[in-house]
Amino acid sequence: MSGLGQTPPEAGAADDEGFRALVTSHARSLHRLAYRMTRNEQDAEDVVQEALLKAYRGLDKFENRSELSTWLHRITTNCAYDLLRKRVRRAEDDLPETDSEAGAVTSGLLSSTPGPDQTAHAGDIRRKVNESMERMSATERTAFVLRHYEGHTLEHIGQTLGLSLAATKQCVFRAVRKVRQDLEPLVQAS
Amino acid sequence: MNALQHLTNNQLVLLYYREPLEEIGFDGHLAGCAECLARFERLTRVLRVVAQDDVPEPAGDFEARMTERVLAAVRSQGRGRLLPFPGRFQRAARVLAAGAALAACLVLAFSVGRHLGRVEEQTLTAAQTQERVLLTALGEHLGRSRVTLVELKNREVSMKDLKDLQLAADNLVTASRLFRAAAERAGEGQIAGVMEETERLLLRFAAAPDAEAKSELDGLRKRVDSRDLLFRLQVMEAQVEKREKTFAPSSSNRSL
Repeated sequence: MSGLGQTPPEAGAADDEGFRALVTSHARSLHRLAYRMTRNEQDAEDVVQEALLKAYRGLDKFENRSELSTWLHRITTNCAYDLLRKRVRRAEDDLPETDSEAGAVTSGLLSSTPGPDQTAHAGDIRRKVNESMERMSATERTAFVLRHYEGHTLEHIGQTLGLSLAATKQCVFRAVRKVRQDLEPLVQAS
Repeated sequence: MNALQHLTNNQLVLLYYREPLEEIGFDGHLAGCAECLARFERLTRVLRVVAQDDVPEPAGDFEARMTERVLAAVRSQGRGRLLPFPGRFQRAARVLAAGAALAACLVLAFSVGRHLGRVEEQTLTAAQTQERVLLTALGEHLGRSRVTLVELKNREVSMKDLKDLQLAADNLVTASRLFRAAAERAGEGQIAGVMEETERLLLRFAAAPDAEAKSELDGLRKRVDSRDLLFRLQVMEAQVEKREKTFAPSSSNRSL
């Protein structure tokens, strides 16, 4: 055989290889995060795609001091957060001015287009969690997902969202309150 | 706090998430307060149920679809591959052919560059030129390391091939040590770190006795994936290339 490097792979193959390996390693965990935030499969895929594209384009911004997965999760969080805020803004634009009170704005609007899973296979828990999530603002939802499912500290969440620690706590408190309101009767009944 | 005061709901949430409470004096309160304990258990039951909420798994071809979509998006926007491969490979081959001479140049160049970085402004042009040469060489080395890892990872090998592969890996380690030493002297810890990790992987395979070479190669392949090494090398290449293009010395005591 020839030595290494004497028969280079097809042009582009080496460049793509690292990216393929990256996607294989991380895409599903990014999808879990994106789905938990968007509660919609198609949106989750779009978020993951956008995040991976940003990662690819932003290679030179990655600091090797941090873990690659941490970096990718942060990008994905930001993409999902942006999507949630856009949904809320669209919803606000669609509402008459008198309905612009914050609670009313976010209620039922964050997941404006439920995916097929939500209509066909939604169990009680998922339906209730969806309802709670829909009542959360984009910031509350993001903070709750990062704290509850991803296990990030409140301090880290605050850094991600650009919030003070006190404001981050309040976001999580409000989110938990909404979850309890929706799920406590279900849990007690079971 | 005194025994008559109970924990608030928010404090229970902080306890559930094992976040520090701002207020002092709550240690042991739960154990000694049946009311708060009952409220905490109710909260825990709800939040545990929420944690059980499953996420639908994407289809089996999810990774392939994501990869193709992203690469297609990158290409359609005219950027092509992030780092043009063939040119890099040819240049890398030339760099490695220089071998020991290049290594000597590197050491000298970094020393000169660091020295020049501290002296008066009119000599900076020479330092910048040295720096640019070094960036080019370093980028090429990173590119070659990545190509080598791709080949090690993907090539079907017979036992006879293993010796050649081990020798090639050993040569790359030797070159990498020189570049890494130069990078470390220049204060480029990130790049040096990735190079060191690459060296460790390669060395383990290169130094393996015949009977273990195949299993070491398999182990290397797994570790390359689990550590995202190919992508991280690509990241370093991109960073070096960016600085090469927009060349400007960042400070007087940094020569890379």
